[in-house]
Amino acid sequence: MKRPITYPDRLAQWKHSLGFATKPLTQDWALVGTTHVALTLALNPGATDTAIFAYLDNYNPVSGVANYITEGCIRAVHRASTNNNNNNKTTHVGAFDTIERSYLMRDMLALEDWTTVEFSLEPVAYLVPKGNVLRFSLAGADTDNYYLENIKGLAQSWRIDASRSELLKLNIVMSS
Amino acid sequence: MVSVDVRGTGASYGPRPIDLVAREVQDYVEVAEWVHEQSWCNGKVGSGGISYDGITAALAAAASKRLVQAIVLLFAPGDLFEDLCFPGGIVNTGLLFDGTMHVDNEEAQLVEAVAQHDNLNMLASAKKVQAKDSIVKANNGQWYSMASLGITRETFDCLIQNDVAVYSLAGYYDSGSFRSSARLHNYTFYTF
Repeated sequence: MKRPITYPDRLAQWKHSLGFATKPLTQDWALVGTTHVALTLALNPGATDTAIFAYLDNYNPVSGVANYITEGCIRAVHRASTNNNNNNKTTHVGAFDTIERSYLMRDMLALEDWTTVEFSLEPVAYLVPKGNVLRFSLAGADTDNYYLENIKGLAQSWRIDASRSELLKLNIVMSS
Repeated sequence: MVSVDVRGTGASYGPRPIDLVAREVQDYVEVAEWVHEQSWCNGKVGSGGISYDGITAALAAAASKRLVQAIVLLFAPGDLFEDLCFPGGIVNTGLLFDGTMHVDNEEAQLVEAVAQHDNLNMLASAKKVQAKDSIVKANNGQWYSMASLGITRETFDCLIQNDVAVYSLAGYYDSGSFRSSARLHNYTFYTF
């Protein structure tokens, strides 16, 4: 690895992303396993692909400190999935392998019109304390860590249909 | 304990046209055979290490017909494409690098060994990859796809056939290794 990957200032990154936040939690939330995201989106005219980056952060409104929890990403042309391709497998909220992808050329599919793209955030076990805010943010690039210039028809903008999207499917273990 | 630099790295001889190529895996088998021939070997051989070294342990045990009976995978990627180099299908420049492995050995034959090194520029090659089965041209003139390199479900089929004991360790915030650890567990799950 060329350098350690750190996220020293999530607040600065929030300025460059589309964010959604909970109200201050009324009890502790323990996030366990993999969080799933399903976005129904349309790209700007002429675009056929996009990279979607999503982040979960833990924000303390009293101290003003935001800590990174986890992230996930997907290149839209690779969205095709073969869920439940094993008869013995039972998927559940939080399972890491609910979305299985081949990433093969034959399964690449240009994104045209309104389309739902599902993806997972990296699995984690994390306690968001009572009083803190869980923040979810979306971005179209992570120039520090990912290269997008090989993507043909890369979108410059998206529209998201909130009524047909499931921003977060979390596995939360409540504690008092 | 035997510590080995894979071909094309450190003080080892030979070219390394691309990571984990079949000839390199054959090297692991030859090392395991050599270890078994030594007077100090009691016949029980294990292998393991962090990340790449965990992959080499798994591939050695899968390929060596019970010469390696136990492996320790410490933060080892289980799918080079999805868990490491192209999460979500996107080129991970935070991980890939364009140089060659560092050489930290001062042995007399080092210069001669390094002269044979001819390693792939991983970053430049990765930027041309569109899918898991995209092929990249290695320095030996042959074409390889990411899907054929590293640990696969077939590797685990071999580990099970060879009755290899596997100890896998991973941590949160090393996402490639954590997701891989679950994946490795599932490889076993699917097989039975």
